[in-house]
Amino acid sequence: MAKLSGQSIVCDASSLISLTDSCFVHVVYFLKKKYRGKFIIPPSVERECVEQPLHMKNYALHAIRLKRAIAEGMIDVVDAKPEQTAARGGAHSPEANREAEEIKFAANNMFYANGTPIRLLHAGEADVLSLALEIGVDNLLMDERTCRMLCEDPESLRQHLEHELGKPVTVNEGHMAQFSRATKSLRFFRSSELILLAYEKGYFADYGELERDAVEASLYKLKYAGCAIGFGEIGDYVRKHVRE
Amino acid sequence: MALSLAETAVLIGSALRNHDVRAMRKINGRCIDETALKFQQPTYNYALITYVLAKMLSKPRYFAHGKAKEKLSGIDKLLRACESFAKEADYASLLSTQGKILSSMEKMDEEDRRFVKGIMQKARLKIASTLYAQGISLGNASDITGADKREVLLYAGQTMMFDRLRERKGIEERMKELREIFS
Repeated sequence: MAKLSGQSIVCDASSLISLTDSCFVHVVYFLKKKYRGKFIIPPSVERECVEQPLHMKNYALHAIRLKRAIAEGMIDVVDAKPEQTAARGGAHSPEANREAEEIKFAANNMFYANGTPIRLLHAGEADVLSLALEIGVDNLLMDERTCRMLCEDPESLRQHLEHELGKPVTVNEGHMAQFSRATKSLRFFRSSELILLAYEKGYFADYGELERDAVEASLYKLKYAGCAIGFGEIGDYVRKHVRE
Repeated sequence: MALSLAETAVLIGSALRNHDVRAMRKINGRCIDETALKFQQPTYNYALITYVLAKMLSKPRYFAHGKAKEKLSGIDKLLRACESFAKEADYASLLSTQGKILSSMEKMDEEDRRFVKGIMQKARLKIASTLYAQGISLGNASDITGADKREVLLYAGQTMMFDRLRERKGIEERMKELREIFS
């Protein structure tokens, strides 16, 4: 596979869901024109966000929008599986599946309560992480909170679990170190940051004097669509950087 | 301390007979916590059962009329069977009986459906959302409960869960990085 631009970003299902639910799939179109990078998803995310919801009345339109974005080359579906890599004439990558399994194992055996490991991460989420690592893309678009926190701040997640479950949650330091080593190069962004980037590049310019209102409203819309961002965070940022 | 499967059945039956919505919700909370720690189908089924029963006990259309009363009485009998099977460690029969309880509740809802989304779907969604809020990933919460990921995300977006746990890295830091990447 040709080396990907450092401006490429691997997207998980949660971010695409938030973007399509908020009618912001065209932000991807807008940013694609401005930058060299690709928006990449693994086949599992395509199945989840396009193939499955096509048959669900309330989500079919979202699926169609994404399907069109893929067909028009705005979003690339990349499979890091060995047979596909070989078919492309590239080097074999038998590590792809193993890496996802190792990441998932480390994540799901990191925290313990009552002597039992707490299964935090799903195979799909591990797939996205391992795809990013496999194709050398450090940027991830992920609205889902747990996976991000596992990578960025596992101790806070442990404390949160302890508080929520009302039980001591202990750490397997070995698995935590293994997971951190594997994922330390990754940088995470949410659909909220994508919208703000688009805003800074003129996405909302057409709104004229309503531009700032549109940006603020968009952030709240994304929050209500499931992007893991709080009211406080939005309020603080808008006050300092949008409304000033 | 975790409740045994037999104890849980007894408590649910008692809450049902006493029309104790609060007790039913408490058992539901405990079952969800146990599911977060370690998924076990019987415990998850109890979480579904208690959620639905708590809803039913708070709406007269589910318990005030003759047929509905009979059905709830039938559910009570099935709960007693659950207790016996759990004590005998006959988990296949326990699961089958829980399945009958869930079917019965689903039929009760279908007979007087007010919303597109049925009560069982709502139960799965609520449990999945709680698990996600507790710290289980969205994918796992959705997978183990059978709730649709989209629905869980949308539901989570209506809650304060992202304010209750504020991430160390906020918008400013992420925007700084993003600007550097896309400069």
